[in-house]
Formats: sequence, C-alpha cells, structure tokens
Amino acid sequence: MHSNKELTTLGLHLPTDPRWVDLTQYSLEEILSDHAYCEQKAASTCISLIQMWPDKTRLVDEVAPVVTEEWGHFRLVISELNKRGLKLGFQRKDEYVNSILQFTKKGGSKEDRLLDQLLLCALIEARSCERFKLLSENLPEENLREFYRHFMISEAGHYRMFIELAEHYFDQKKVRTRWQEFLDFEADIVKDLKPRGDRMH
Amino acid sequence: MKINLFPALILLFCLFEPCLELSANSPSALIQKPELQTIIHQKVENQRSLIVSRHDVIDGLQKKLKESKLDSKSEKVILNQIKANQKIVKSFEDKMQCYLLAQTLTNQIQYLPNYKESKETKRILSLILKIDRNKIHYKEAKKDYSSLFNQGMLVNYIPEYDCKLEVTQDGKVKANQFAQLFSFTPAELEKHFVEQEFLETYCRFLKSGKKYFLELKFEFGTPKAIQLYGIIEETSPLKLTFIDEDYIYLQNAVTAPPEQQIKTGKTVYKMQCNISRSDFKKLSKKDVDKLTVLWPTGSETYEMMKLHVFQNLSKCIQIKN
Repeated sequence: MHSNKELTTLGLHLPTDPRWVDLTQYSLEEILSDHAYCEQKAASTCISLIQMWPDKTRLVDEVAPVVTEEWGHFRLVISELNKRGLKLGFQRKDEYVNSILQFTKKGGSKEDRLLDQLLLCALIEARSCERFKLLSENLPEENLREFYRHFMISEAGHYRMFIELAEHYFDQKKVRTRWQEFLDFEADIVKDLKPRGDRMH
Repeated sequence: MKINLFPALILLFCLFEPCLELSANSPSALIQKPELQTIIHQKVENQRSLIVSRHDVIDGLQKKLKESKLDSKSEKVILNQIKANQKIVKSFEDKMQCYLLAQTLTNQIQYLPNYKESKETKRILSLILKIDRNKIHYKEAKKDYSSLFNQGMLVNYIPEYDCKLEVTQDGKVKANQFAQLFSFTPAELEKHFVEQEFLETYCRFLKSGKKYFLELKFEFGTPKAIQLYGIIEETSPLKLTFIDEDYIYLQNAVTAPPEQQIKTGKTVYKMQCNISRSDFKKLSKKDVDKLTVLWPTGSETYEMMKLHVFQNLSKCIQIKN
C-alpha cells in the first residue's frame, strides 16, 4: 500500500482542494485569462533565465525551446478564449507565486540563487501540472478536458527539465534537500490560500 | 465511345508541375539527403581505414612470428594478439556492413512517397546512432531495416509480423504476444548500458468481448527505477502521437506497483488502458510516431522505432479464430 504522499502528482506535498475544480466551471473567462498569463510569465521567466545565465550552455539549450512552447501555449489559450467569444482580461496579482518568491534566497552566492530559481520554476510547473490534471479529469466539457490534458503533459515535462538542470549544476543531495524544503513551504502556502475558481493557483 | 485523354494529361501535368518543383526544392531534397549521404560516406570510409590499419597490425604480427625466432611463450602471446585483432577486424567489418546498409537505405529514400520520406530519414538516423554506439549488428540491422528494399514497402510499408494470440481458458479474453515498441538509453547513461538498454518498451492489445485494451510494459534495466520514476498513478495519461500529428490520449487503469525482478535486476512497469472504438480504429490505420508517458517524476516523450507495431497488433487481435 502506498501513502497518499507518494501518489500526489509529481511529489507535491499537498493535493489541491477538490472544491477548486468545481469553482473553475463558473468562471471560465477568468480562469482562461489567468491561465494565459501563467503561460506568458513562464515564457518570460525562461527568457530571464537565459539572460542571467548565458554562460550555462545546457541551461540555454534546454530552456530556449521552452520559451517557444510556453508562448505557443499562451496563443492556444487566447484562441480558446476567442473560440468561445470570451476576452483576455487584465493580469492580476499572483498571490501564490508571490508567496513562494519569499522563500527563494535573496542574498548568498549567484549560484545558490540559480538553484532556487530552477526549483521555483520546477515547483510552479509541478503545481500547474497537478491543476491541469484535475481540470482534464473533472471538467464536464470533453474539449476542455482534452485541452488541459495537453498542458498537463507539457508542464510535467518542463518540471522534469528544471529538476534535471538543477541536478546537473548542483550536488544531487543539495538539490533534493532544498526541493523538499520548497515542497514543505509550498504545501503551507496552498493550505492557507482560499480556493478561487478564477485563479490557476 | 473513345475519349482522347492526351489534352487532359497535358493539363494535369501543367497543374501539378509547380508541386513537382516544390517537392524537388524542399529542404529535405536539397539539404538533408546529400548531407546524410556525405555523413554515411565518411563513416564508411573511416571504418574502412580502421579495418585497413588493423590488418596492418595483424600483418606486422604475422611477420614478426615468421621472421623472429621466438620462444613458445612469446609465440603464444603474439598468436593471441593476432586472434584478438582478427576479432576486432570482424566487428569493424560488421559495423562497416551496417553503415553500407544505411548508405543504401539513404539512396532509396528518394523513391519513397513524400509523406514517408522524413520518417524514413529519421529511421535511418536512428540506425546510424545505433551503429555508432555499437548497439546493432548487421544481421539485426538487415532484419529490422532492409525491408525498405521491398518494392511493396516503397508504396505501403508494413513489414511482416508473426501473429500469435494467447487466449484464456474460457476463451473470453484474447491477447497478442508482446511486441517491442522502442528502446531508449539516455546519453548520460550510455557508458553504463553497453550490453543492454536502459528502457525497453513492449505493447500488446487485449480483447474482452467487444472491448479493447492496450497493455504497455516498460522494462527498466535497473532496480532503482522506482526512485527515478516513482509509481504510475491509476489515472495517469498516455499520449500517442501519429505521424500526421493527430494524437489520442489513453488513461491508465491499473494501480499495481512496478515489479522488481531480483534475478535480472530489472524493474517492470505495466500500464493497461481502455481503448474506445474510434481510438482503436486510428491505431489500426495510422503510424504512431511518439509516445508520451506521464511518470510521477515528469513526462517523457519517446520516439517510436517501429511505427507499424500497433497496426500489426490490431490486425492480429481482430482475427476471429
């Protein structure tokens, strides 16, 4: 018998509140808008990583195609909004990401900051993947379920890439210890955040 | 009534001429093929010079054996060196045969229908990669790849497949024998997996009444796969992407943890997915290009080596008796 922890998507320490997926059905325009900005922010973050670490060849090689992919996702969400006659709203404060950002190291060496940046990206991808999985399994509309399955698989691939990059540039033990710290911190944040149907996180 | 078709043929030719031009100027026609041919040519030549230099070594050793007066111990040492070098030459010759096969296959690409061209180029590249890494022998390469020579394949490539079915005692459940889908070793693990692959994947269809299921078996050549990949969740999806970029999603319906084989040191995962009629139809008609698995540690996309496996298996499972 396996514990729930083992079976939580991508090793996250706390599964999403099951009420969240029900709430999303009532605010499709908002959730799609929020999703679009998540993809845009993911693409921007990848560009920033490349700008900050041009000397890390593997990072540049692996992150560059993700920029294209995330931007492609942004466009997919926009076309889904258009298809439904819905509009892209304005970007709103991302409480979830802002809270996790507090956990990342501000001082210390530049290298340590890279480790935290990679793990932060991995964590956001993992949580997004988990949320997409919930949407792909529970939304009433088949087209939307299919739509989110596509994103789920893609985010899981990015999660893996960021963890592998971290393990490439840093000691594996150090990465795993820090990763567990991130997961614990994130679980606390998710526990305290009120589930909102208009937010991806 | 007789109809003169000649003007119509001229018209048709004029209509299609731009397409012909386009196809001749496509990137694959102008860049990839000559490049691939050059690469293989260089590989064949390198291999040839390796063989020649190894023959020189053997000649030198044989000369030494004839001309010098050696004691029996030294003679034995040289004889062993000759044997070892002859063995190396054999493996070099086998490798060169493989490269020559790849060269011939490359030359055949131009006779393939356009939609097969890039796929076959991919297959040849994968063959070259295997040859480079000493992971294929000529016999095997010829068996797996030379079907391209068959005239039939140039139009419709579905190699022969030995259809064998297993049936439960009550006759209610039929299953194919497992067929290999692909093998995969990450570049960074290659030095640890010389004799075997890191991951070997097999698949088969099961049929119960009118329902079809797809069973996949992932065999990792390591007992540590659980630490690396975790345990597949019951609802975990599989994405099968076809050659025309259409795709289907299947969902795992099995919760069983992976089996750790103590004797072989392997870890075996199994996934079983229910397949709808429409998905089964697609699998039995179209070439599958990629398989994406959502492992608990992230998703991985694998390139198919044998694009026709699902077609062969589906034909086989539909046989009535």
